[in-house]
Amino acid sequence: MNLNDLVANDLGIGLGLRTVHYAHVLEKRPQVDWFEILSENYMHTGGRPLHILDEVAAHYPIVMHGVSMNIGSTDALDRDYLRQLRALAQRCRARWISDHLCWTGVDGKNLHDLLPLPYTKAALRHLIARVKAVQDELERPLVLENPSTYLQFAGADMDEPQFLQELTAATGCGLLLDVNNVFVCAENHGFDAQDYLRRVPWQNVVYFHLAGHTVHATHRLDTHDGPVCKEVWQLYALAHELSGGRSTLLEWDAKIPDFATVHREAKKALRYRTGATKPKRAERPAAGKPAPVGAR
Amino acid sequence: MSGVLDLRTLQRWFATVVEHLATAEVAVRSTRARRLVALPALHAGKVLVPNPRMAATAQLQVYNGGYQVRLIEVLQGDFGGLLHALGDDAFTALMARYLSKHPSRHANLNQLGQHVEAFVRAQRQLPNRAFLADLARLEWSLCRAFDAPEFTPVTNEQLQQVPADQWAQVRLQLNPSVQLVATRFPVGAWYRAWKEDQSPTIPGPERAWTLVFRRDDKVWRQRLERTQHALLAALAKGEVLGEAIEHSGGDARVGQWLQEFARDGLFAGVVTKRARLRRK
Repeated sequence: MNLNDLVANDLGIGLGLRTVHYAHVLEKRPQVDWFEILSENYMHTGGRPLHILDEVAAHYPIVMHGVSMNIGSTDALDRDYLRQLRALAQRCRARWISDHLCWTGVDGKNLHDLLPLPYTKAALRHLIARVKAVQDELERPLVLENPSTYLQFAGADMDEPQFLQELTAATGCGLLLDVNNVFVCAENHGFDAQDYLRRVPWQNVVYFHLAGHTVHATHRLDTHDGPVCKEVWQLYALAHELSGGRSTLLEWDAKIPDFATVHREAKKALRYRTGATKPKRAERPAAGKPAPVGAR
Repeated sequence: MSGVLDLRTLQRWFATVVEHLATAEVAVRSTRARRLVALPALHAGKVLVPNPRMAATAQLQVYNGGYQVRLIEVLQGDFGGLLHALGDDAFTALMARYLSKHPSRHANLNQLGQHVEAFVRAQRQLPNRAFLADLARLEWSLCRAFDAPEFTPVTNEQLQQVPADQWAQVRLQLNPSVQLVATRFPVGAWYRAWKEDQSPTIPGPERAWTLVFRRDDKVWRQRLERTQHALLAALAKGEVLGEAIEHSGGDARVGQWLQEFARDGLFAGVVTKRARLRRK
């Protein structure tokens, strides 16, 4: 499995598979292009979650998205975690495996948060070695997501786009470009989101994330608890144009509405994808259908 | 690295601030945090890039505040009965201290509550702590049953293949979801009443035995008699059936119980001297 195959494999518009929608997905089999699972929800468990995953994987392409790889930590890599990740990927025939450009804990503790890294040369060297080790263990390219952050460490040698350029060039890893995260960070840290997008190493971008966020007085918080805002859709349009089109996924993880609402929000992305923006042919009325009354 | 910090020091400092029970403002002044990052360096912008809208501690508070909220929410899900019995504020305060003593060390949040029972039992100042610890034991057993490894149950028909002269020496292996919960308080009855939206009062001590297991991907609770519990506990220890029956007092209903246990899929393996009928 090489990165070019992943990049070229546009799966369409996907949704995050969430517990509250299990019954709907299994019973109704909605027309969704693909599902992304939270990897850890199906690890260290042997009952219902795995059986549901088996059932969903029998009918939809699956992508694995994790939150506990701890790729940026200075702790040793958790080899047991990686082995289980690989086994899960085999079980659900995952198209690819993604996680976050962050760290989640140190000294053996897991803070279960996506914590920011300093964009220094030393951190880059650290990341390069670990991404290579993970890719060797998983025997496939790792796909890493740009995180939402609420602070930046001083003493950086580069900004995030350059860090991503250097990391992808050195490791061949893939990128999951979270468009909402770009916007949230741009607002929180005061950089130009469009400039960020123009400097993304697009040849490594495997897929996009879209999500909603919460606006506070002093910052924006990546909460995944609502629809995608207008500014993020506009950035997605630019990202789509710059990339030529990639698999796209909507995340909705809190205050989750019914499946149809989430699916409808995700399908808005079709407006920005190749072909979908072409003007539709005017619909002709069906034969025998009476003309509308009162229309002027 | 961030001026003067290497990555490991930076991460240790950040983790210290994030997991502190109070606020980031308090956390950065703690002895441990100051050993890693001196306050003047933090306030001089040598660690974090200054943000005109947020002080350094306000930026850190985004992470500190999220940590407890997120993890306590997980514990609320796993220990809903305990939450009800304690009330929101007492539960949150107790679990914040729990997280401080037992931070997550696992990739999966489904392991987070594994020390709650022992922690609650050790809280000498906590009213009704013996009952609450028993309740935590029951609720954690439900979590363990839900997440237990996959298994294939042995059927009654498969059990009947065991030759009659070998029954006393057979070992019946319990499926990995089976939890045998012995408590000093009748927490099973309290838990059922709570699930049925009644408002159960905390009962007095009365020994109780509860069987928790997973069948068809659902977790079940069943009240046991003491002798049933003893029989299953002996089987769980690996005793042959003859010994297990002796330990359970040789109750005449053992045959019926075994059939019912098998019907509920409690056995995942039958090991005779000649052959292992099934094991996973």
